[in-house]
Amino acid sequence: MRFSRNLKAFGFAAAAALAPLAATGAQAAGTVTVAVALDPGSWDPIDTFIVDWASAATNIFDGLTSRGPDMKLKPGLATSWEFLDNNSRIRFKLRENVKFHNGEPFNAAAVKFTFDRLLGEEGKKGPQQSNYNAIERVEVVDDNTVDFIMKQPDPVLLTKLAGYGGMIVPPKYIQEKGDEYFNTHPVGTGPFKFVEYNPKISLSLEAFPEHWGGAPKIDKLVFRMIAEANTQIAELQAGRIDIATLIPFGLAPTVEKSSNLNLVSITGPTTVALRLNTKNGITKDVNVRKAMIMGIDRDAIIKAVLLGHAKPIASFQADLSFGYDPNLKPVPFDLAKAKQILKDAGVPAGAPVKIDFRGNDATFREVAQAAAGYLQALGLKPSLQPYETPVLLNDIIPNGKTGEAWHNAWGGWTFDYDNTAYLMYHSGEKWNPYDNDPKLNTLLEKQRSIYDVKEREKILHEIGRYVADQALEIPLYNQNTIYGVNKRLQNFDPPADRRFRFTDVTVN
Amino acid sequence: MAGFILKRLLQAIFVVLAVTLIVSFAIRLSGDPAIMLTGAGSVTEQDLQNIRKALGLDRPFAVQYLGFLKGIFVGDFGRSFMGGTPVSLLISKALPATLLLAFTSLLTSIVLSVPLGIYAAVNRGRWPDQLVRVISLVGLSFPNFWLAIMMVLFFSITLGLLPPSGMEGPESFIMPALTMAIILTATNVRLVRTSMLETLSQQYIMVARSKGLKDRVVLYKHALRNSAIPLVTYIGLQFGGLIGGIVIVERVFNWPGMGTLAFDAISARDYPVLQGSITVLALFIVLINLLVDIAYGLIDPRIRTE
Amino acid sequence: MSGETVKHVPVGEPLLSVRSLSVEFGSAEGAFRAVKNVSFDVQPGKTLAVVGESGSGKSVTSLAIMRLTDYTGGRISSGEVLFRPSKGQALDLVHAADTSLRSIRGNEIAMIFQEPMTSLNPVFTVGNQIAETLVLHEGLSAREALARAEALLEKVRLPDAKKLLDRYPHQLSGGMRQRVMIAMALACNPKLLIADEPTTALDVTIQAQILNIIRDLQQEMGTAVIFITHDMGVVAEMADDVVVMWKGEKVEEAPVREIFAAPKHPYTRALLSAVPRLGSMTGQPLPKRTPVIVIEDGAPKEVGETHVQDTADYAKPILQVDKMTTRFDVGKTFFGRVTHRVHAVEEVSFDIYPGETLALVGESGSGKSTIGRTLQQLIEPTGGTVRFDGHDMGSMSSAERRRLKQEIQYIFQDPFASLDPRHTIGFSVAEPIVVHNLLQDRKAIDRRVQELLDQVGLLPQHAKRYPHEFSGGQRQRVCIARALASNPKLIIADESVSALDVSIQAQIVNLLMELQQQKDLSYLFITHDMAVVEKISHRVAVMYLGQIVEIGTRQAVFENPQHSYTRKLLAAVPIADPARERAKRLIEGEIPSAVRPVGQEPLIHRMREVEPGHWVAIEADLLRGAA
Repeated sequence: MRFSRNLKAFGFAAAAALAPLAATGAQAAGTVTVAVALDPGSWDPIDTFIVDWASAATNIFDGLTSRGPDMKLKPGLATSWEFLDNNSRIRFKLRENVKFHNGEPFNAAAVKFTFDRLLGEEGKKGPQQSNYNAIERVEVVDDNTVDFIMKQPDPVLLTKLAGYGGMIVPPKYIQEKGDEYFNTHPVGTGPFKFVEYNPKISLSLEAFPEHWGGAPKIDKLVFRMIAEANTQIAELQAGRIDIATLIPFGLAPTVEKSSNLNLVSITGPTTVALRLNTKNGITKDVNVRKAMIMGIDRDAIIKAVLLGHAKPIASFQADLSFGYDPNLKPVPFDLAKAKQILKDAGVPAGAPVKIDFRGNDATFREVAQAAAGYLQALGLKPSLQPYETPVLLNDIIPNGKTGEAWHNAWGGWTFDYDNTAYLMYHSGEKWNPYDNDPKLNTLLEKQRSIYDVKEREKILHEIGRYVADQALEIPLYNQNTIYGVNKRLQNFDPPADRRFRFTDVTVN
Repeated sequence: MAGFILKRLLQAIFVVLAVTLIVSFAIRLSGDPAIMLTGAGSVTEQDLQNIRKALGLDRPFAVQYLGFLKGIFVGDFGRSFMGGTPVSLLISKALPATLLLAFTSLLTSIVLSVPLGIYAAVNRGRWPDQLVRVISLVGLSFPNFWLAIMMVLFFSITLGLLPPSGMEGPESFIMPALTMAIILTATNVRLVRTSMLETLSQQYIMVARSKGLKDRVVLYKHALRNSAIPLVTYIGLQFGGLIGGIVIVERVFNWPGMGTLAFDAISARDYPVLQGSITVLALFIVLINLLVDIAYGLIDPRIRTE
Repeated sequence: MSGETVKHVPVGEPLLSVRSLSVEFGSAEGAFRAVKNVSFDVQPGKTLAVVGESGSGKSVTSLAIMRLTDYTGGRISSGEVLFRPSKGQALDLVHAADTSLRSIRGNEIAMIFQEPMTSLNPVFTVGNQIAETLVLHEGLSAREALARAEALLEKVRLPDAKKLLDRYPHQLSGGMRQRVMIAMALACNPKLLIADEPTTALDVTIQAQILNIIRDLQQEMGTAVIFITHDMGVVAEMADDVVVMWKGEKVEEAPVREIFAAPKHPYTRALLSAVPRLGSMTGQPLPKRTPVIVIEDGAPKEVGETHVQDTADYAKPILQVDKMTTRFDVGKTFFGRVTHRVHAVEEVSFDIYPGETLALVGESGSGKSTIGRTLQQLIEPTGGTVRFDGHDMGSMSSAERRRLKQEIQYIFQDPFASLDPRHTIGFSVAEPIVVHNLLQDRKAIDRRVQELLDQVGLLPQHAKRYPHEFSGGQRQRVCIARALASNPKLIIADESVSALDVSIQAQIVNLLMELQQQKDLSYLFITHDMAVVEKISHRVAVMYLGQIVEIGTRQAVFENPQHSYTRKLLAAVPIADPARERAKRLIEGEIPSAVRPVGQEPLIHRMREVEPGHWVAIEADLLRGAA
């Protein structure tokens, strides 16, 4: 009846034929549909680094370890692990009676196959191998025990085994069907198994009731690739998807206002900073850098530009990150003091500050404009230089062609400060074109060799404080992960890293 | 006519070759797919080289390009860098989607604009003409992106009548085709009107009237066919622009067509997909223009009998 | 239309009676009345000529009879058009319903228009367009209609009628198209044929053929004809009765002999005085200027003087053209090889002397305009030499060539197209002075422009106006002033007076002659109009298919034409004298094409001198060449 009324209101006779079709818009019970922006093209864990891959594939595959929305590391396909031989050998006890979706048994041989493949020729073609290079090889001890022989220490390894390239794949299936078939017909041990893949359109999964973690409560899970944010939200509003993963800050209120939707805004992995040039320009002087940090009201920017969907930061990491120091507070905004410091440092009025940024990032464009406003208030002469992203990342930054400041945005799914800090501050790294600080180098190298969680955390805190003290960057904010979620979804625990788990989710 | 078609075919091959060369060359200036594939993570130069080798990017440009050309002749456009799917497979799914959308839009636009344009021309200067002209001006000033979103809000969200995106059934065509058609119709109505006015001022129209023919016969037999001559040319030219506009419309409506394919391929620096899709689109546009030339000859005996 | 008015017209009364007809254009307030209270009758089987110049309302009248003005934004504001159809009662077409009108249009009343090139729909075959009328009004099947169409094409003496049915208009020449138009108009045996300037756009020999056909068919079918024309020669040859229109009104109506013998209205007298009559110069060796009657404030006034144009100086030619050849490539193969050429001009030789007017006459495609454009350096000749003042143009430096452009000026046919609408005419006239750097001082230039405008009979204040503010005749005066601005020695006038109304034409011809006398100008006068040629030229060259077939003094060529083509051309000219016997002239055949396949060169005919300075092509040669 509702439709026929609408039709009358619309007065469009031809639409009458379409009414029954439109009625299918509502979700079938027991099915959850998620919109992701990109199609990774291949579902093989070693082929991609795309977050949208993980949003879907985390439900197909398991790793030896597992990490849920609480960011705590838990046993996965391995039930326990121990460090042997001065940490150069890590022994995993494997979960028993686990089967892949095709019925193939999960065992030590499957783990060895997975990592031989990742570290060998096949892995060379993809982006994941480099994350696991600390592993020398995997040895089968018995059917339910494997040893990881380490080339060098990697304290983040256990986290990395919970996702992406560390996902365990079925050896027989891949050997029989070939890598190419596996790309589009993935098989794992995860709670959902593959049904159908329409490139650029959708990936359909169904519940795998024999999953070791218990059978999922819904029976179908569909991922649709929708690259345009407005379209994702429209689909969400129309009730044709349950979760939208692409919601720009500006569109968040639209979701908030819809009665059938929840807006989820939680801590995300992405942090944003303006890295400063310590070699040239007025930013050579540490006091000038400090004054610039002090002179930009980041809370105001978060409120005005990001509509509150971010948190201020003191170091280049999220509060969920391993290495986050709750005692390190952001420098408070103080324009007068900042001006005074600049004056004391002898910075002339109208000294130029060029900010290089990713031209396609509309949000950051506004952030940069706001920041430039504050710099102007400090008496400096800011200018904004947008670049095409690959140009900025592959040429301007690594080759040291930046202005006084540049746009740094970073977000690792591992939530470990190590990865970020090492790449950002160790000399010779791509993202560190100007600095060579022996003290920082030593600290960064040291924490990489320690598996002791407490001790490593202490060093990471020290690194965070040291970087803040040297004012190597203007830490701006940690951006929230935003989802639009249909209220009919129950027990949905939104993950910060977008690696959804739907085992416990039910729908009304 | 046969010589003429042969000549145009040779031209077409040259155009397509030039397009592939430019596209292949230009995209290689715009960023390293190995880096795009690995993200900004902790990769070493050795890792990148491994990936480049796996993708065949370590070979000189000429070798890569010639390999691509060789592939075209056997219908093999290589494999996507993103996941290794054969490009021909991706295109075979995307091309029909785009063509269906393009033709539906064009057809809708013609069905709308021809009677409206004629009506406006016949009533030149009077209110129906003014109305059609104002509406077409309004139509012209809509950005298609905005128009698409407004339609989704109205038909999908407010009325709940049509699916907001995707290609699921006949009802999926309505909004994307209408978006394109509205923009096209806005220009086409004016073109039909102008062309019709020009034709109506011709003496043979007065002659037709002096013969005692009904207005309808004068308009639809004597005038329309003559007006169609510039119209057909324009629609042929429009097709190129139509494909351009389709990129945006496909994106908004998440239409799994060539626009989406090419757009994603550019973002990901997926050379094989981009080269393949642009080549096919170029071939297609060239083919359409060839058909237009032939249609031109069919409509206009002055061309046919030369 | 409010209710139809049916009137009883007794037998023996006119076929068509136009009563107090007025036609307006534009909105009611600012309406322009193109036709004012015009009345006339058309008798069955007779020809009524409606004569007038541009703006006289004659064409609007012709359209209004069938209410075709409805489609041009016109409105019949008063009057009636009573038509007596073959069946039924007389009908007032002004108030007739659309269905009645449509059953009369093309059936009882048919119309032929001025432009044969645009009268036929380019996308339909000839057969289709003729058959359409027959299917509509006679209810024939398509096949029957085509058979009738073929018979009709034969009736208008088109060869290969069957093949023609499948032809498209663009494949036919203008003359053929006009015959198709006549066949189409006569398809349903109309009682009345309205012919609006049906031969104006045609070559003179073709015109003669078309007039013959109309006259013959009229006699055969008993059709009444309304013949709209500006050409008094055509009137004299065709009409039984004449209506003279002027500024939207009928000023005189009389049988044709009466109009010519004793015109009553001053305008009719002025019109007749302006008409150049072929043969009026017989016995006179030199061109002669004669006064023209113009209407000023409604009264006739004689303008100008009689003057014998003894301006030519035959000591040394100013221009010598020797074996000039100009060809264009057309038709290329797939590989770009030329297959056909237009042999526009083939080994043409002539001289022009100071103060002399040489007329170059011929029909379309004769090459006469190509010669003018070649002399103006708009086209490079393929061969031959051109000497100006003794200097070979081919070996001139670019500076000398520029100088030559100053010495040779050009006046075009369409004065509107040759003036830039965005500039004042003062600017246009000053342009050659500035381009050739003849004067530098702004004031001196202005003075010179004033002087030039004065010489061509315009006022000094006209300099500040724009072309659209002038009439056609005034615009042509502006073009003449501009041509004079660079003090040329030779002016090429290409159909410069052809598009003008006769009264204006006579004045411009007088102006040109007057200027020749004052400035010792030489003219190359390119035209198809034999009557104007007779009046203005010292010598005449007749062109046919790119070659000169006869050249000599005007008197020799006109009074003693030797070449058959010259004779044909002269015979085809309608004579503005209804008292002359309307001899049926047998003129047949199309004008052949100058396009030839590569390798088939035309034969260059030899010339013989029939009397001193009078040369004629040897015809055997020409026939062989054309075959």
